[in-house]
Amino acid sequence: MQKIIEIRDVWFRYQKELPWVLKGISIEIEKGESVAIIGQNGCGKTTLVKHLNALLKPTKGDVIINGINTKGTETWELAKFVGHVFQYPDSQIFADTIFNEISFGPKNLGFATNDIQKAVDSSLAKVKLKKSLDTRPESLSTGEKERLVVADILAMMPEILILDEPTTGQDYSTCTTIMEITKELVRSGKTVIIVSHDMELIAQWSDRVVVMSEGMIVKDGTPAEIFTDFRLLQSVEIDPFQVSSLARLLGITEIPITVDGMAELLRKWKFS
Amino acid sequence: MEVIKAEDLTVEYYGSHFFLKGVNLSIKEGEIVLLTGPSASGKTMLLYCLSGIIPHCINVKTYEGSVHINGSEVRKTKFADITKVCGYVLQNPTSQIFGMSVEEDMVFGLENFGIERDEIQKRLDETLRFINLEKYREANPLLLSGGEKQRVVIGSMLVTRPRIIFLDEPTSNLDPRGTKEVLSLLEKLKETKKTIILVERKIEHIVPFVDRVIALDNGKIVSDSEPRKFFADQDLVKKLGVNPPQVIRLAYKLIEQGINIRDLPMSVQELYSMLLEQRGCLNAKNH
Repeated sequence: MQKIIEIRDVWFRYQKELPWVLKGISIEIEKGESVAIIGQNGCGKTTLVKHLNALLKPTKGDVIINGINTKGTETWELAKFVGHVFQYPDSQIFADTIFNEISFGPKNLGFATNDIQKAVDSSLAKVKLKKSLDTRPESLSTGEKERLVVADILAMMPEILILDEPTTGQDYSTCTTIMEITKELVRSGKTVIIVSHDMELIAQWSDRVVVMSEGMIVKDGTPAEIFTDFRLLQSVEIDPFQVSSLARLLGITEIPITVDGMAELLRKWKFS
Repeated sequence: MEVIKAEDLTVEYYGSHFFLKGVNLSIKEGEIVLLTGPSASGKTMLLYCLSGIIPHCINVKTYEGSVHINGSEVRKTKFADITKVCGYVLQNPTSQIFGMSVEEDMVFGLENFGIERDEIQKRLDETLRFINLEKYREANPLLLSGGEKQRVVIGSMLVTRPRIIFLDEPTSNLDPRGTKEVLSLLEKLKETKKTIILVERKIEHIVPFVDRVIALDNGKIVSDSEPRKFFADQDLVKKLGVNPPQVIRLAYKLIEQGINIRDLPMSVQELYSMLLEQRGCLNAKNH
């Protein structure tokens, strides 16, 4: 597998006199992986992902994106390669129509007119936003706005997609749609990194979960490894899943993290 | 005693597709009501109407029917009088905080109501204890964590002693730690017999103590019942895009598998007891 992101002992602080926000982060991510980063607010998740498109550069250590060290690179040079969907959709929408909004990125990257139209149409289809191209973005609901900003980024066809809390304030069906879009991207070989507090969506959709606390990575593993580690969860103040707690109460040794998994275990438990 | 009543309420904003159509409801004192439904179904709009923000603070294109708070028709009541009865908490705590210290933020409402200094001090101490932020009374609220900020907002509202509390997704900007802090505070509020009407997506923590679920779709009330009854209608729950807590989804599966649990569980503890009961019954039969 091809390493697409390499973070080597990265330390970061916003100013010299301020405390370290990242304290020796090292992680490698391969092309086509779907990685979730979790942890309480203030633990450094957003600061870390801002290093992936050179919005921030390490105070110490190296961030290498597809073989390029971000130290000598600017954000615009990485824009085509790394797409970043920020936390609040309203802060990213600025154009007067959906078309102008989505076409902004491809235009700036020098796409041909034909390709711009294609990029707009295909990214709108991917996010399942069935609106006419002259719709004013401010008339959209929060869920639709979130899908619009995802479409903005998809139109630039990045290799790496970063979603910072894409499901905050969204209803369940929007969350599911966003996660389906990311799954589809991963299937087509893109790398997706999600920062989120929605543990159930993460357990369901990500291949790998990175747990951060106080600027450090405290565990990196599969959803099953992370969400059944009760001691870890307690130390980072994340509640275990209800089905995991139930299994523990019932004295079941094999801890499930999904409803289906628990239903299966109970089928056996009932007759034991 | 009825504290809120909406009759044939039809409301439409200017230049937006949000609307409410023919809403009828009655809320009794001390009830905890969860409003649910897909995005753009009118939840926030209904909160605005029930708290008098519509039509007092937001002009609307259409306002038909009526809302009564404590027996007074909202349109015929001064907003200043409504705010003495109703407290409102928004999604983003920072948009409601403006004091330089926690204390200053919390007393603003009381000072405006012209409450005596001694009484202000008494209520402040009492509320700081309730929200468990006594040690931060002099701190800059904007430097606190998300959960603490939202607790300050709730404190600033509680200190005015509203009888009815409206919360519009109070945890949506919070991390798991902050969410738990705020939702536990709500559970504590239940004991004070306040009427609470809230929109919240992280329902797992609150379903065990909610009295009633009102579901909206397309501006209309499509269901109004106690949580167990609401979640029992699996088709509706699915249609509305509501994701029930894991224990409820597990119960759906168990029922499908023919495991006979006596009711839909609202918490892990409840399902645990039901399963033990069920196993006890089976063992008794086998012996």
